Amino acid sequence: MLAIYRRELQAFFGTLVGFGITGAFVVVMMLLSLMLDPLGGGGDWFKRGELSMRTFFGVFPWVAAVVLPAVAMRLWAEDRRQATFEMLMTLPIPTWKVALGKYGAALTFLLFMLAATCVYPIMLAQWGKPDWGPVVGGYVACFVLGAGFIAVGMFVSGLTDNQALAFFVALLMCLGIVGVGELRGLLGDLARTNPDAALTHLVTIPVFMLGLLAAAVGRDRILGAAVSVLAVVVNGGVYLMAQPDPKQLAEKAKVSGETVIAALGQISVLEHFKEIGRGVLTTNSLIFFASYVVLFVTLNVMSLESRRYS
Amino acid sequence: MVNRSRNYTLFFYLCAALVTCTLVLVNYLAMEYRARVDLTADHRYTLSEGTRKIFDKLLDPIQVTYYVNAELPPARVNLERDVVDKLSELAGAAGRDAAGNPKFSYTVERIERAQFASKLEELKKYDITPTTDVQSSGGDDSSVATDASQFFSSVLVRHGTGKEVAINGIMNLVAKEDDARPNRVDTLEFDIMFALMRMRSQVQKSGLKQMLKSLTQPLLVAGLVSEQMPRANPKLGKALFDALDQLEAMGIGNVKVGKQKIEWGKKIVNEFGMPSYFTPTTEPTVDPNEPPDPKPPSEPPKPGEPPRTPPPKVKREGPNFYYAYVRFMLGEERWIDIQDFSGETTAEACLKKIEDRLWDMLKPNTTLGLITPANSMDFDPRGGPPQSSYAPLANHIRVNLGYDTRVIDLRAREKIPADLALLIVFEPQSLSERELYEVDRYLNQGGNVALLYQGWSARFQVMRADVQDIPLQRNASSDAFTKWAEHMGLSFGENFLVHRSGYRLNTFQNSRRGAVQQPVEMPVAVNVGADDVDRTSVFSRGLSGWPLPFASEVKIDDKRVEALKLQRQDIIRLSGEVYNYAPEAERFASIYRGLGFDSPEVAKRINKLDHAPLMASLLTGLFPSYWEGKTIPKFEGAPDNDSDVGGQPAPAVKTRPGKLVVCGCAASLNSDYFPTWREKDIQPLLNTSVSFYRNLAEAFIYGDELVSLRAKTGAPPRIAGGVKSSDKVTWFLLCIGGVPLALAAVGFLRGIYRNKAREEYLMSLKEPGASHE
Repeated sequence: MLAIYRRELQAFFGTLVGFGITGAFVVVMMLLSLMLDPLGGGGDWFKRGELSMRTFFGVFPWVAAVVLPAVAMRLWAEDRRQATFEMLMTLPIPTWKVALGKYGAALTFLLFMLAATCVYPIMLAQWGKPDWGPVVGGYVACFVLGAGFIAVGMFVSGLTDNQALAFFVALLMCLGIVGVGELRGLLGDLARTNPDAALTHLVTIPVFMLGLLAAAVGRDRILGAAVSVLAVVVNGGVYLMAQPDPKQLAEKAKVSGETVIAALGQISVLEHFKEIGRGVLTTNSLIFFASYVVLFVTLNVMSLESRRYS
Repeated sequence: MVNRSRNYTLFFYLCAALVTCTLVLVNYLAMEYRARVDLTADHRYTLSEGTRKIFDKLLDPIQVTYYVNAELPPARVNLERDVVDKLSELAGAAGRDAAGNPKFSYTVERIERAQFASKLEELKKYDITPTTDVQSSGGDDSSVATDASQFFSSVLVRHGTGKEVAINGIMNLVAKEDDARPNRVDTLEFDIMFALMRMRSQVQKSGLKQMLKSLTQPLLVAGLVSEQMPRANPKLGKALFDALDQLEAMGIGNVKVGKQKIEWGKKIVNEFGMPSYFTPTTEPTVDPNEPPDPKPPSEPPKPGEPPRTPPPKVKREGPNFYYAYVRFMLGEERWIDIQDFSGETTAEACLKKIEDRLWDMLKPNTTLGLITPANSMDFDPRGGPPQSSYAPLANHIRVNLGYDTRVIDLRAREKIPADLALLIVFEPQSLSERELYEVDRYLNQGGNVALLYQGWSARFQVMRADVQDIPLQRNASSDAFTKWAEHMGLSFGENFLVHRSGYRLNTFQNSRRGAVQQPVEMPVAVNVGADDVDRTSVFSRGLSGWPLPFASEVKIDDKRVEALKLQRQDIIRLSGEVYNYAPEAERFASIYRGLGFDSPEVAKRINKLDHAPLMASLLTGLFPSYWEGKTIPKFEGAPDNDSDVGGQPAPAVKTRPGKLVVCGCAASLNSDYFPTWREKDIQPLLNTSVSFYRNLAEAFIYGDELVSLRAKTGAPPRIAGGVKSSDKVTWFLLCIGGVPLALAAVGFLRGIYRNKAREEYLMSLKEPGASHE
């Protein structure tokens, strides 16, 4: 496993690509958080005058959702392209060790990327006495979220030998994972007018996404596409046909709205990210991110194993 | 034949489902049994020790209702969640009582847009009001308001039999401006706990008879009723007079009622013929008396005609105003008026209203004692009695904080009352030895004293246009005060402190159009900044932005404080760039009106401090008497045969823990600096200025229970002072370009190294006899 880890690390740092990705990541993060502040209404960091990295951690999930799939896309797809995949699979070590070796190297690269932003905390210390708790918490949040994204990217990379496709699908999945919490407002509003449709959306949107994933990289693409289409049909049908009784609407809307908001709140990555990012480490948030990693690394190992039998 | 592929696919799906179910279960358990570590410096996301102690001792449950609009502005989309998170944290920490009932429960009431108006009316009785949120776009310099919305975000706290307390306008920290909001999500814990304390300390209202019985001086009541009464309530005048009669009967000699009936259609005017203070209520009126019987028909009905009915009685229409006015006076200082009786139709209803308002006047109230310097008495330009420059502050405390204030004239041998929440001594350095003795005794016996030192002052009187200097005056310290302060380990800076971005006062200059305001370019008041106070302390709530004119540094001798076994807690310490302003020649000390901070003339007089000067500190503990073993000083100018004590050995006093607050400035709302200022100009200074006194009074009234609560927190630390453009550009370049450049350099060097290694390897291959394993 250590040999695999070293080999992957060599692949990251052996060429200019690793440094290039890190440099681009730092430039984008610093531009967004120091000069543009897209989430806080604009204005540069000095004008805002806050001795915190609130904006940096605010934009990280969105930037990471784009950059980290690019890091992870080559983990398996590159081996497939270079025809070293079969060799790896026939090595006398279990697949999970190979996967963990690759995953560990990607995590080390993530750490390197985060370490490259250390000039920001140095600047904070230069201009006053910041509260280091949220800064440490923010970096922990960035690491665990990034670990989740890399796991997703590695899983998708294991499904295809096309790096561009792996990147695109992983990008969509990561953006979906970040954005799921943002659906709260949308579905909450829908729950007030059409409660049944809101609950149906809650179930069918993930089915639609999974179908899309299967259609893109799965073996039975027609089935995947059919599942997605079915999800859209069910969604549209319920939305158009559900006519809530005006007398029961208020009560129904309340129940349905609360269910939607509570469910999306629990699975929202951003909520857990913000919780850690404000400087509060909670076991449930850490376990939540660990679950993402365990789920996608396991799926990755199992999908690779399945190739032995195909 | 076994289809291994199909079997594995089945195995894959089963395993995936199993892993997913296990992870869902683990996450569920992690939510139920969660542990947390708060990494923030002040543990702002963890309940304070004070809150936990209150919950432990709680007998009656706390019920909280959160009123919030169902549809919030986009920027506030997480507001409800944030508040609910905090409430659920409080509910979790409160736990359950012996019977298993939750000690803290909360409900969320979402208000739909259609219900807004009706809810507004309904919740008025709880003092719940909606808040206005202005959304803006652009940076700090170009911030433009784009939208404003009004919505509910209020918490109503219920506990025991106390009156509910509403906390309005609760906001989450979304924009920089939110830091300045009085009620925020991050301060909710403090606000709810403090509301609870206030509810617990509410004095139960006593009955009217009991209230009147406990009066220590007669209650004078004046009732004014006009002949005409409102159409909707024509019997009001009679009902009100009946109520006053009943009140007099209940008072058994303690109540003296005077009643005056105002003639039909007349208005009360003062001696100059102008409308009086007693303003009438505007409403259509009628004569409340029964109209006379209409005249019977002049001729009897003829035979066969139906009997003639008399015409109906018609009440006489009155003017469009009436008086139903009562004034209650207790001594010369306390009085209240009741003018609105429009909803009361019976004597009982009027009496109930009177009872409620009387309770407002008679209930026990927090009293702050004020000792003002002898030389600050000034004549009221409107012809009133002479008053101290600090008199407006006393008025602001009364009006804004609802506290009673009492000026204690020690020179007139008035004693310091024992029931004061706080004794505020303005310019203590001017106190005579005997006055200081009285203050010292009060402190020894467990009193709470705030000493507000004012080393320098200036007169901002109307000046001639050609006079450029504002004369400064040193407020000399008496020997007695200097020695007493030394005994306590206190001393004060010689000069006064200034900030580059401090507060600028205005002076007045004669012109053809009268006196016009002219700003003084030199900032003569330091501003208390957010970083100058401990944000978690109850003593520093709302002090950010407090201007302190001509403030002196407070110096505390730690060794002396330790020797006296006192505890010290600093309240304000000025950080950033602070300068000493040293008047060049004290004989002609002045400030140049037209010269700014960077002018060469001013630069000669200021020097930057190399430390953060202390502005206010709190000492607590058993204060030993300075006069122990000495003789009691006599009043100044008192003859030798004065019967008052003086010259005898000071009696031993049983010391109790007292509290002494020392501040290097007294003039925050001194009227000398605001001549002819309009109320709206003073208003921005008012909140921070009275906050200081409120914080002290509340902390002393509620004691350790309040002090151990964490106060207002949440605002992140900010950059102190200004930032030069060159520094800004350097850091931006370093952050945005520095790291990528360094990475490029490392990558480039690594590439060279790898190429070199590769070449060496290839060369080694070409060497004869080399082994290539």
